[in-house]
Amino acid sequence: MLLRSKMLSQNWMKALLLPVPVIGFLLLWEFASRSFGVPQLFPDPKTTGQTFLELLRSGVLLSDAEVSLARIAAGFMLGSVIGIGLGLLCTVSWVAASLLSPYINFLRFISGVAWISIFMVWFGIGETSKIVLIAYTVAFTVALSAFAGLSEIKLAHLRAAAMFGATPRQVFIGVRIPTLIRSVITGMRLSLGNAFLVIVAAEMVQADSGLGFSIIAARNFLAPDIIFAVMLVIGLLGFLADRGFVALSRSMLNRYSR
Amino acid sequence: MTRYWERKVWVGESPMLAAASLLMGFLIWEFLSRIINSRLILPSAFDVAGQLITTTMQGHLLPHIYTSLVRILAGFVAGSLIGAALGIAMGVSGLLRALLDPLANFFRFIPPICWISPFLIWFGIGETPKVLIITYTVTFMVLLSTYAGVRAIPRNRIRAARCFGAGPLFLFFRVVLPSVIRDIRGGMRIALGNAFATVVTAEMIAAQTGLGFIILTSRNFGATDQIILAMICLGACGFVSDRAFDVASRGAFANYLRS
Amino acid sequence: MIEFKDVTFLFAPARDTVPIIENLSLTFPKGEFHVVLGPSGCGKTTALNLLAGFETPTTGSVIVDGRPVTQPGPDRTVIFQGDDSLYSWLTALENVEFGLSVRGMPRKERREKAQLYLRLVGLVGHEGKFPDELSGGMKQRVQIARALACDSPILLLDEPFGALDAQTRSILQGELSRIWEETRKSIFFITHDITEAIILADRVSVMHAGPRSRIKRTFDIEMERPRSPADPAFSHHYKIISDCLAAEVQAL
Repeated sequence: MLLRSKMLSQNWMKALLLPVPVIGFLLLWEFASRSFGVPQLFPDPKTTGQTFLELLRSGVLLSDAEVSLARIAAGFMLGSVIGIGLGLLCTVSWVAASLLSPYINFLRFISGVAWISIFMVWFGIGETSKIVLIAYTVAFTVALSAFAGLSEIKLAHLRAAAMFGATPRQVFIGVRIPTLIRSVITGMRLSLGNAFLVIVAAEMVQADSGLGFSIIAARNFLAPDIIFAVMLVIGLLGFLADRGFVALSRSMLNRYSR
Repeated sequence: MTRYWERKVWVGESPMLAAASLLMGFLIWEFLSRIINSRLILPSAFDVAGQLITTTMQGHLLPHIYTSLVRILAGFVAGSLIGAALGIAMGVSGLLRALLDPLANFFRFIPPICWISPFLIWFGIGETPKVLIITYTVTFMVLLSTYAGVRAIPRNRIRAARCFGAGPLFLFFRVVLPSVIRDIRGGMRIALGNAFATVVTAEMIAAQTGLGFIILTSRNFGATDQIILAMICLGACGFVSDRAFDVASRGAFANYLRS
Repeated sequence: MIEFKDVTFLFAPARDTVPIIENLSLTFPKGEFHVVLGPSGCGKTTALNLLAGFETPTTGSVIVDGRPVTQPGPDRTVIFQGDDSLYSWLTALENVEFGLSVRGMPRKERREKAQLYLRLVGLVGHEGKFPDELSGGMKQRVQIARALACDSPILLLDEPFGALDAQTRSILQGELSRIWEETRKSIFFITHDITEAIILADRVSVMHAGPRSRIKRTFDIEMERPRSPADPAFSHHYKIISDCLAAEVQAL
């Protein structure tokens, strides 16, 4: 067990093995598609690939992706700010933390998807409701992570600061905030994934544009190959966004992740 | 009184404040609803509370709660088993990890809601696709936590056992498994929350009953009060389940949660 | 007879070019308390890992009783530095029983033997405690009890008392000495503390500073046990070993 994993942890080995799961998956897909019996309902990899290229060429894919990504970006930034703010508030004031805690513990179980209808009623059917929805999801996840991270503050760190005669303000800036940054980054990364989830849902329910809308439209026109193609795109975008975020946060704030 | 440098965060430290906060929230809601004065936009808090009581007593609400809970439970159990098994397998076997990791990292980003159409086609409109969606969500969370847990097992634990002549089976059941229980439990707890959140999505697949169903269909009737009612139920059930899981798992596995 | 025969070790043969230990040779007879002394990073833990069978040499071999070492085994029990080898979900007693249960020893017998060894290391009354309820010194004692219960002819100890306070260290050194005198196991003990080496060892091997390290020189310690730092012979040994080691430490 130990010996082989040393070999396998080499990056070149990982790169070498990469085609295996990909090809394996494609083969599985092909097999499942064939055995399903109704090719129109379960497209094989080749058809999906062709559809994907077609959509790409016609520019539909790009415009959809643009729209969805724009919403995510706006909502993510807004939500992060709110979430960080709430996290900070809870760090500073245990009163605020206690006041907020029941809501955080409660709303955790209600996903953004449930809020779609209500937000549409409150904010109309335009961009606002979708952006607010994403902002809510992001803010919530970030605040939740910050909340959870607050208990990670090491007592030894706090005492060391006190020993040096730090004022409460200095303790706040020097100890609490750095610890907070770590949880906030984790929360932001998590919420990015959630944002994708929620925007697709919102676009599916309130169909006018975006990747989610494309899926609904494809369903209505009985074009599962488009559904697959768009799903792949969503997965890819989500993956890239996640990697991008990790790279960005590491380059700027690496010290806080230790 | 604790000195300021010892004050950490008190989550629930003041249950009185928390309860007061809920009460205040309720009253603020009622106040706002009176100002806005539109059943569609914000129904009266008292109305919703009243509805909650009447529907429960008339027995209309419970079947919905029951159905949703069953789906959540099924998905949770299935997803936890699969996630834990895969997480351990990937943690232990470098080969499996190299093979499955790229796939897991990709599918992680495909929202469960995307799977509604394919699942509908493949599995019809029964319970299976709904439970599968929840299973999907739960699996990833538990897998991630379990995997991290396996990787974090102190090397010396394994080495000590090997010194005593332990074979791979013994190592697995008496060292690896006990060591990761804590991480599996942590992942399961978070996944439980996710499972509740995902039930709404799952019930988009032609559900006829369930809390998610209520939320989804009330939209068509502009019955915001029903939506809020279902959301409150969902939140309450989730909260209770979370506590129950926390207490039960801590009791059952107390020894394995020690650091 | 325990022998390191011309051992060279690279951590990652594909990537590293510089071995941590190179052409290391060391022999000591059964029943000897052998201490390896060296500056930080000289590869002494690596040597122990090779003898334990956790790693295999890149070239050369480690031979115990005429057979090369390739795997960990019940004839060579390790006592680790730190406490992360104890199982946090088992009580002190159950931890000591662990090695015995691998062998399939029946419950009753296991329990008795484990209690015996816990008594031997002075932990009566703490059998039911979990590792997180024990102090550092107590945890090390549990490790010792666990290792002794397995009754292996060779014991390997990797700076076991390093994290302990001076008093506990001194007490445990005495106990280890006593146990060795009673059982005459072969002991391979690693430390960077010269005093500890002289108190415990029959012979002390000093290693060069890493990388490319090997044994610099081996010293005989011919003093009566129990040994006291107040003994003039002690300071004599201390001086020569210290000079030998200092040259290596300066090389760092």
